[in-house]
Amino acid sequence: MSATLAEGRTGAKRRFDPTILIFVSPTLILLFVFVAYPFLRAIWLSLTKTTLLGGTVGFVGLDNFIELFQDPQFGTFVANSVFWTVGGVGLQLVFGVIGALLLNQRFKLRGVVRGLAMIPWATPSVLVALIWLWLLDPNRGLINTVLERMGLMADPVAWLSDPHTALPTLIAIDAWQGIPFFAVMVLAALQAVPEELKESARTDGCGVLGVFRHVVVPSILPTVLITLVLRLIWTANYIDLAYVLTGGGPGIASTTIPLQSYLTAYKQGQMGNGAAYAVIQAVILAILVVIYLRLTQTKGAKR
Amino acid sequence: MKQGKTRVPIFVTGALAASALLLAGCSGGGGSADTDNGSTKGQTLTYWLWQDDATDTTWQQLADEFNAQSDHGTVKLQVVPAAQYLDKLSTAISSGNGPDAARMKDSWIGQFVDAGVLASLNDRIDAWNDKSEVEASAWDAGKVPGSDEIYMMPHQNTALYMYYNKKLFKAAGLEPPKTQDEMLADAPKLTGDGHYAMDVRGGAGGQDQWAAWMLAGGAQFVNSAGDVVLDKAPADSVNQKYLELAKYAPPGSETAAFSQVQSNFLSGTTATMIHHIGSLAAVREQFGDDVGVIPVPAADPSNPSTVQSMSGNVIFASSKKQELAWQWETFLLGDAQMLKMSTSPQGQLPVTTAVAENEAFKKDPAYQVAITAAKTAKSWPQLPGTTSVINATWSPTIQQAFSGEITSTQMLEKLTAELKK
Repeated sequence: MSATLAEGRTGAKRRFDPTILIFVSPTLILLFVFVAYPFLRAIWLSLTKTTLLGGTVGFVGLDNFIELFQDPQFGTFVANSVFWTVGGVGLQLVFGVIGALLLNQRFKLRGVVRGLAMIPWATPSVLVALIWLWLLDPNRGLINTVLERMGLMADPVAWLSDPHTALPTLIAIDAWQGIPFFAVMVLAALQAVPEELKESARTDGCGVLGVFRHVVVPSILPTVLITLVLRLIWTANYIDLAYVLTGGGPGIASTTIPLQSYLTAYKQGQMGNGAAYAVIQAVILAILVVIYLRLTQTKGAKR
Repeated sequence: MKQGKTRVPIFVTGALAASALLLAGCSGGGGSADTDNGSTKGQTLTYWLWQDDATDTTWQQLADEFNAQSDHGTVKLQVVPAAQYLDKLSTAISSGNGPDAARMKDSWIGQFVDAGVLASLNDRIDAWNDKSEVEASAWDAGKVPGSDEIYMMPHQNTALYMYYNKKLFKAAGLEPPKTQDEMLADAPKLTGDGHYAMDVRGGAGGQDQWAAWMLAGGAQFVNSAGDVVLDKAPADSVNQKYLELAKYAPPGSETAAFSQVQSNFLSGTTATMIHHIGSLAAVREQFGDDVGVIPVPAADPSNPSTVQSMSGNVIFASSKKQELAWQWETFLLGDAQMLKMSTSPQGQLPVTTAVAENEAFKKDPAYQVAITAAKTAKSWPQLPGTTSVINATWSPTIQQAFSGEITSTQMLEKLTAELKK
């Protein structure tokens, strides 16, 4: 069997079939137009002085990157990005797994609850932002009103206007929106855990926690890891909430690298500097992409 | 929501029909008087605009009237949401897919002039018979500092003033403030029991309210030579007074945009609001006679100032339909058209002398405060860096000043540096 496969692979290497190009060309063209060209263009822009209206003035080498690293606010953008990404995804991981375990139990109307649980994930981001903008309004918002009437706070809190609460509030909203996705992914993995394995573990004397630790966790771990890396990549790039709810403020308290990239390019008109932020973001995310590819390859190989 | 929809005061509407008929005979739009009409027949002009009230059809009505005239080409309106307007226009122009002409704000033109994409209008204006019909000061809104070239035809103006809630002032035993010191002295008395003196609006669009306060306090953006002097006295002390007002503003005011500001004023949460004539109908609908309009409190009431924001129309240098664009833009300045726009739900102050003298505006005290304020008002300087300050720098910078992360002096230095870019 293995000898046949080896022969097949060797044969494929020797004989190149040009019709393959015809079959993959639509994909290659789309990838070039929508991925490769914009990516290469962004790298080029980051090495030039380019304004939105004035076009490219000239090649400046690494000046945009040097300017960016010398900006005293850059450290805050990086710290905000890390806090936003790790905080948001961390909460989604914890509560997503808990949610999946709950949804995996047998109870009445389980199907309905599973469907309703997806609503935050299915709601458009801008709508989510507006809903929370109203809920969190310091003067007339529901959340402050309820907390005040419950006696939990004496004065209204401007959740999105205080430098200390703005980013944590955004993280909480992002978690609220992202938990259903995590829960559904983990739920799918939970449902794929063979009942025989659990039964064997019980027969061997494992309790509920023992079965979870020795059978369930190893079974769902590949899915959790892949979901985790995917969410890290998506969340790191996600600027809709911050843009609508705080605009990156107050001050720069909730400005992340991708948001600053957008603000620099389109609000200040400095495309070259904006592209430099985007390239740095891409380099950081490339690490996560490599991890994701290795995980998916490993999972594929195991099959 | 009540504040989402603006309505024209009844007596203004009443005067509209009669005045429009009367004025229509005076000037029907100068374009047709001075141009070679035959040359634009068969052309279609692409004109971009934003609507201050998306439900209002005045712009389309004016376009229909223009298109019904048989002696020139037609205009096709392309409405872009206000929040995305500048981004989309800039992107379209830079990619060569922009319109022939567009609605524009005075504070935006600096970067467009710097990029060389706007057509100079001086020759056309000089040859235009109705040039003198436009308020003389309005032309400055279309210039950049240090140049006499005009790049924007003025159209609608706003000069910021202050609304005050008469009941809240009466309850506090106060008269409306004339000076900034009086405002600061009144602020603590207006604050308490769920009420506050004023929103400081550190979020989107708040730069105009802040600029009105700064100019009224005697600060300047640029001097007569065109140099940026926002970091020179008395700007710092005036700015510190504004930052001080944040103590008497409702929670969230440091990042509030207009919707929150207006909502707070209409609900009686705040006692005053700095805004312009565009919110007059909503404010009167809510308060009736219990709201007053006064000039923005000044350092010296005998030497008042405020900020004005002029919206006008530009022609792009790359357009091959500049003649038709000129015909459309001068048509909009015709008396009947100007009156129609200024009294529409999204209407602002007229820029032509005859319409400004119309009874519809002269009888209304709020309009009179606004028109008087406009005479001494100043625009944001039309510098290349102005758009960046307004769109990206001002909000985070003043928010940092509100929270004490930076000082008033540092805030002004940062804005000055950005304006100089």
